[in-house]
Amino acid sequence: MKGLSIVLIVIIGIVGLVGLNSFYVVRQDQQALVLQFGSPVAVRNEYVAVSLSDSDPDTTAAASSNVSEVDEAGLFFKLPWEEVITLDRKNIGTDIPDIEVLASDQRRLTVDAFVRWRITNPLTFYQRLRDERGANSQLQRFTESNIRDALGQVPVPEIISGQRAALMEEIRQNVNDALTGTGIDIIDVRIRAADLPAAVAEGVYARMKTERNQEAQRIRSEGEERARLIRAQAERQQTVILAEANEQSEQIRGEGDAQRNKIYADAYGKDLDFFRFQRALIACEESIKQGTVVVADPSNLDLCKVFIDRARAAGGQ
Amino acid sequence: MPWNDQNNGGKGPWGSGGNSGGDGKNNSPWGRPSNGGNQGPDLEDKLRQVQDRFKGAWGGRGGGTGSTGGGGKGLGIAGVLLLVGALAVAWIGTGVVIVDAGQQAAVFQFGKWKRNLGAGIHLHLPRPIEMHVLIPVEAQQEVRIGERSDESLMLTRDENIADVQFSVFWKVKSGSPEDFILNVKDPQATVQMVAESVMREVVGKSELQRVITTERADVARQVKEQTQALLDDYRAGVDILDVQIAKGDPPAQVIQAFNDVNVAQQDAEQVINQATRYQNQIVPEARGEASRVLQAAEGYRDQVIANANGEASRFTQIYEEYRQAPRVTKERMYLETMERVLGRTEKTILDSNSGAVPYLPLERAQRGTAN
Repeated sequence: MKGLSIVLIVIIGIVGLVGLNSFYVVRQDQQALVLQFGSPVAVRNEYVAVSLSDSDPDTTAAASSNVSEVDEAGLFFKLPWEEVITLDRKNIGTDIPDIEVLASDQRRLTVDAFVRWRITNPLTFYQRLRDERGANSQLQRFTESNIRDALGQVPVPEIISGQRAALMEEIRQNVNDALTGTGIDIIDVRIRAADLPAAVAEGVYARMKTERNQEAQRIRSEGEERARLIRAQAERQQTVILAEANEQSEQIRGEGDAQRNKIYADAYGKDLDFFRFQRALIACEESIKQGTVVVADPSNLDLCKVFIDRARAAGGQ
Repeated sequence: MPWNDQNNGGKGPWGSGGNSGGDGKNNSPWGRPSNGGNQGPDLEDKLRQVQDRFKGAWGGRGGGTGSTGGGGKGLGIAGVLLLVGALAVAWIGTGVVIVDAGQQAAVFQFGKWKRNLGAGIHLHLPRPIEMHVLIPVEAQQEVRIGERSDESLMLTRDENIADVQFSVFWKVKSGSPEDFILNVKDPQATVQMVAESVMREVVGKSELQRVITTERADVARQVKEQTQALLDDYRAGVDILDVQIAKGDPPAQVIQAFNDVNVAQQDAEQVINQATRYQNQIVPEARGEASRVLQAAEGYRDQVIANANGEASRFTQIYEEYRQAPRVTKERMYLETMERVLGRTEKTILDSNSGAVPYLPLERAQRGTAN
């Protein structure tokens, strides 16, 4: 009775152990490789390689739905001695250390990039790269050299703005080709940063500074230009206004004078001689004012006679 | 005891085996999102309460079966049954999931995604058959980029350098939260990587002046769209809510020069305003002066004409008089004038033939003129 129960417990234990080692779960975000003493017997939940970067949205969408159909995550049975290698099925990001690139215009750029990739063939991946660490070092090596090659063939402006997207796609394809047979698919290679080395950046700052200084100077000078124009226009206006006023003024004065002459002529024309006489008297009276000191010969006190004689003389001519 | 056997059978390979395998595997990579959901202490309490309630109910029934099953077998078997029952309840308790507001729970059956659960309390098949991961689908997350100075400097198309700091606000796509945990490794870092590379690409295609002034909003919008597109390409299950450019400036080294341009604009305006003020001063003044000159001229004209008229009429009147008696009038006029003129002069009369030395009283003469 007692021996039987011990045997029973041992059997249950063994069955339990065997049972424990006979099942394994493959999560939806994992792929599994089953090895029997090192030789592959099964691959579970393998990512069906539809290149997402083929960038045709329709096929991508179709591929996506395909992928979920093929999903075979779940509980699996295996022989207890079979080994299960679990690998990631996700889109994995690998950072590429900064690369100094010499562009075709002989200028240097410091490029920081990252690679997005995915394991698409667990078996070859395991055989060639073993794990993500191995994959990372290969990826870094190949991406680095491909970035160097691709960016070395175009000038800096093309890298910065021109064909950045095209270059990245080219690099992606090259890296993908280089890593064919390693069981990974390169989803994307993206240049995170392409910057000038510090020494060159200083030069850029200096140039930016002088550009700004020029701009500031230009703005100030243009302001001065406009100000002077405004002043000059104002002064011209001023001059013109005053000159026109003077012109008109002279005209008006002339009118007055003309009128006066006409009036005089009309009046005095009646008797010129009397006019001279009368006007000479007025002139005499006007010119010899109150308190004027006169030194005269008693035989010749006719002060106004001078005026009259002169007027006659002038009129006589 | 059919369910008793079931329990035993289930427990052997799945309970412990599944747990050692499943727990280790499931919690380490998936732990983050579920922890990210703010599971407060009262949630734990609730869970415990629920478990207690279940325990109570099952325990009672377990006790009942125990008593009906056999009075003869004694306390040992009843105790074992009770224990097994309690374990069973605890096991089923692992299928209880409480989803907080703003969360969703993705339920996996042997690692394969089955369904999502909304807020509330739910029951799924106990571990390790089914497990869940809580995902904070509504929580807004922020990634700040450019807070390190070397991270914020980027080249522009005109080969200047811009200093750009920005924030990306994102959340898990609520439609398919399972994408967030299934498709991309380390989604948080992925958002940052992608957003940064997109920002640099967009800035690289823009001119500095536009990045730091007019096109800032446009840059943010482009970054948002392109980041979203790329993440959708990865099927990352991430919704980019907003990209906000906190700072889009020239680099610190040159900001002085940039500010000086603004100052220059002010200066220029000031100079122009001064000139305009000058203009506004002298032109109206000139017009005023012009009116003055014209008025003066008209005044002169009117004066001259009036004078002439006056004189003419005076002459005409005198002339009429003269015509009637020319000689008499002429003489009278002359004498009257002489009288007036001599009457008001200071006279010194010298006989030119007397031979006296003419002494001119100049002092008096001067005094006289001064009067």
